[in-house]
Amino acid sequence: MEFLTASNKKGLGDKVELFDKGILNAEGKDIVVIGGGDTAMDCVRTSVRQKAKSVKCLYRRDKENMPGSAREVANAEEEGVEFVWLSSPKKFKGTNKVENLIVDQIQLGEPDDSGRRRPQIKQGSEFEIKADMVIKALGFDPEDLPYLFDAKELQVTKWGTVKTDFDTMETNLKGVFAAGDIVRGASLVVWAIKDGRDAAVAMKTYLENIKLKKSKVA
Amino acid sequence: MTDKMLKFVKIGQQTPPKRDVGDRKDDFNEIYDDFIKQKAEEQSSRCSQCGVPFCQVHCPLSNNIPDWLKLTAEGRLKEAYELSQSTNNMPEVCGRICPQDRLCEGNCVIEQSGHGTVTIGSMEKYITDNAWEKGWVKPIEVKFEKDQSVGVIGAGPAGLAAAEQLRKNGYKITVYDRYDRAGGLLIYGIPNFKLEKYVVERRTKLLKDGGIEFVHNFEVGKDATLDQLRKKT
Repeated sequence: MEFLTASNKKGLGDKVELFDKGILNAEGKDIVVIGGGDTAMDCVRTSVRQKAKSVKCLYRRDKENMPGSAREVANAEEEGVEFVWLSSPKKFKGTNKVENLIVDQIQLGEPDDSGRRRPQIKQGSEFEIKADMVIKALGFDPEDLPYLFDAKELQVTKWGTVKTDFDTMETNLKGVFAAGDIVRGASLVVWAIKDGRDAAVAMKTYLENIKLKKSKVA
Repeated sequence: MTDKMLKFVKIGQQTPPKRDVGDRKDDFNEIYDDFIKQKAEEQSSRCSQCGVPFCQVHCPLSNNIPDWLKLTAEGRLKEAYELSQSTNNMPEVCGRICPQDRLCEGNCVIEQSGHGTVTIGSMEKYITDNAWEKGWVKPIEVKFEKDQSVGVIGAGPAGLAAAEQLRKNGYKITVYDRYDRAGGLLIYGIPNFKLEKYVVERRTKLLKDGGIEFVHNFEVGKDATLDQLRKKT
């Protein structure tokens, strides 16, 4: 994620120290991206544009079982990204910095709850991939809002997302509503817009009710 | 009535041209070119105007897709834009980055019957980009501002959509964001080759022009606690 933010900030004309120092710049490097979602596709395609020497994408399932958009995978393939299907990183090798990645081959077992086939490691199948930089694109965890906002009383679910009333999108704090990834977990922009719009409707009702109560008392 | 539509039997599917691979690897710009008006009208006329439109059913925003495709095919682009933006706060963003193959386009009936989906995403992008060009996209005008205020934490798509909807209803809105620019993942997460940043920036400018106040570099928990924000009037 820092990798994509750095690249976007550069694109917007900002100074990014970690990029200028080369830490978050893929130029001239052998890049390995781990993960098969839309963020992984963004990372590989950004690396291509930063003039990486080679770009590989490691994913533990095969093409049919990828979670991301097929269109994005096709675009990445066109741009010269090499996909290493059915592979899972085991450990990093190198002195001071990563030089090689030890990878296990995977075979697919029975489908899991999501309908995708469960990856299992093939014993003794490990091989090495050269890597100057490894980018993990393995999903997002919700931030710890009660801690960050200094609001311990804000209730969250067992996944760490903010707990809201399904009908009103109100949290357990009166007059505080929540929408988007922090309620839903990482999802699509279109869902964020939908949630934002729904929350707005509920908030309007809430604000109008406050008004009504006040005018009745007066 | 069906004269203009149901052309999928005669007209094949076409997306706007994709830029050449060698060319697009050299920069961070978007990879799809724009439709021209005639192509847009032609491609939207492929829609079969289903009685139960599965594209709309599978759109989280229930976008009224068959109707704005029909309006586009008829050259009524302003009405198409009005209809499209009535259910979506940033159609040109969704047109660019939605995984249409899993949502509207994946469920298109002519796709299911083997003719190739109507290119809904590109049409959505075309309709609203064209509206921006023509100056049809206008900031919110609040006639009577209410005395109640709303604070929105986070200027991502959910925050911006909520802010815009509430502002339309006349509330005073302040959006707090910890970064120096608004947009959340739209600005700092999604790369330019999928969503160029002027698209996001003109949206946030529109909201500012509509009277929404933005406070950047503001971290709730550091610059103010949630409790302090709630006590504000």
